[in-house]
Amino acid sequence: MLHTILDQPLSPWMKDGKAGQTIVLSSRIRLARNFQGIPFTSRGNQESLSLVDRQMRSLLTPLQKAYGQSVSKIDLDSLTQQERDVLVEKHLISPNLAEAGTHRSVLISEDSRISIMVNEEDHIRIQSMEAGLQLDAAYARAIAMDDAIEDKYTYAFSKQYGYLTACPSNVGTGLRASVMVHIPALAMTGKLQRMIRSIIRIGYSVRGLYGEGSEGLGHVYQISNQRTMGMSEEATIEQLTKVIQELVKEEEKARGELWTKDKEGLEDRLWRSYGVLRYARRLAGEESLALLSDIQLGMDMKLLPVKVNFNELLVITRPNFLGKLLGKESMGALERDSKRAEVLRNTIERGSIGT
Amino acid sequence: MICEQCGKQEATVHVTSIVNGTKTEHHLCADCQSKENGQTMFSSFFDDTLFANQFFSNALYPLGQGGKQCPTCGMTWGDFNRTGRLGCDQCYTAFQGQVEPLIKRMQGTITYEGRYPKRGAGHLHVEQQIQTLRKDLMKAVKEEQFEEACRIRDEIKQLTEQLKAQ
Repeated sequence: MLHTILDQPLSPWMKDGKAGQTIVLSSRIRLARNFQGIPFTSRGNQESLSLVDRQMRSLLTPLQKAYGQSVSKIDLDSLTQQERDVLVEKHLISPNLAEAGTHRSVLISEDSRISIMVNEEDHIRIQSMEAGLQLDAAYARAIAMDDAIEDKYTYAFSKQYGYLTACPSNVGTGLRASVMVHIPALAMTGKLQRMIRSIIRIGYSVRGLYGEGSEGLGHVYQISNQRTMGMSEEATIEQLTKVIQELVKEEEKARGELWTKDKEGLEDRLWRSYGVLRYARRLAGEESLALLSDIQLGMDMKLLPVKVNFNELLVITRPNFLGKLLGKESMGALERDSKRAEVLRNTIERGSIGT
Repeated sequence: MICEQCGKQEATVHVTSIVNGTKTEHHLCADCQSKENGQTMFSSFFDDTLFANQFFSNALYPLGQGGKQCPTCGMTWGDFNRTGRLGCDQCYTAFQGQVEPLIKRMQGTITYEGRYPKRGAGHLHVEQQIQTLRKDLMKAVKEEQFEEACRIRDEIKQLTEQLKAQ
């Protein structure tokens, strides 16, 4: 299964997703947990880290049973740095875990919906992903995994503070619910900053997925809850879902505006991007994100005759994924840009209908 | 007792140090001891390891500031300030006075409203269920859904008995 994960840009779960849900790319639920009586990761030693690792290994069968699919354990030490970085680019592990230390591993389900990090900031971090806005479904799967693990090993938990985590910013539910959205029209109509500010004001964090800080390359943003105390998991998810539904409405309104104000201007922009992707010989990461954003917008608004999977394309443009594709440990920037352009040319051509 | 370093001479210097709750003993002859530290026997009194000893650190940092330690993992509040991470589940009790206001500041509240572990907190799980049902019961009565209210009341009764049995 490791080969499939490292070589295929498209995680099986990305193929799902209801039609029309292309503004919300994916939903993610993350639960942070620690085992009782074992020092947290940063304070752990070889013995304690190894114990956590062994416990997780012994859980493969019950997890498989609970999920109904095969679950593989990948020891990060057995991978090259490039392979670890591919896992980061596919959102299966965090950059933190990729900086290899001992006894760090990840358990991944066959469809890649579930990935459980071992010995990151906390002993375990359960991640459950779904296409589109499906926080409920993602949460249900995460809880199933959580219960299967806790059935065998006792968690560090107190009635007072809930699930005990290494960082007090996670204590309580240990839940980070986040949604990845693609909001180009809000950016193009100048409404984005105000939208981001109002979301932050209600207590959520908004982060550009690509680029430094909140740069928002490709108009892709991640919106997550901040609080893990004072609110139940269900309430957290319900509230975030509502916020995203409002955001989607605003994005759709903005798209309508683009259409009515200057449809031809919009078409011009989108077709130009299409042209570049179809014929360019070198594409840098930043530029390709902007171009892909236009392709997705063009697809959504039925202005471009293309059928491609945005999630898949986003992964394809990532440097380490490309490196792995080329079978090279390290590549010069130009070589990478050339390969990127080639892969995108082929993918866009394959996905083009009648042009 | 023979010196643990050279294995030849009689050990005359015995040093017991307690670091992070772990006690270690060293037995050296005078020669190896001075070679080891490049110092005299008495100067080893000012060896760092002795200051890590809880007794001394409490004297230097009174009132549980930098030197206060978690008895289980040995982490200090100073460590937390540096790394932003606690050392173990017991730290939440050991540093309650400092952690609680921090949580209050970060999260706006120190009340936990989330779920309980399914197996491990068995009775707490049931307690939480009863709490939720009570809220539902009040809602049902308010909305004059009396049949539903009866059903919920019976469920509460059943769970309460289950709880007593545990």
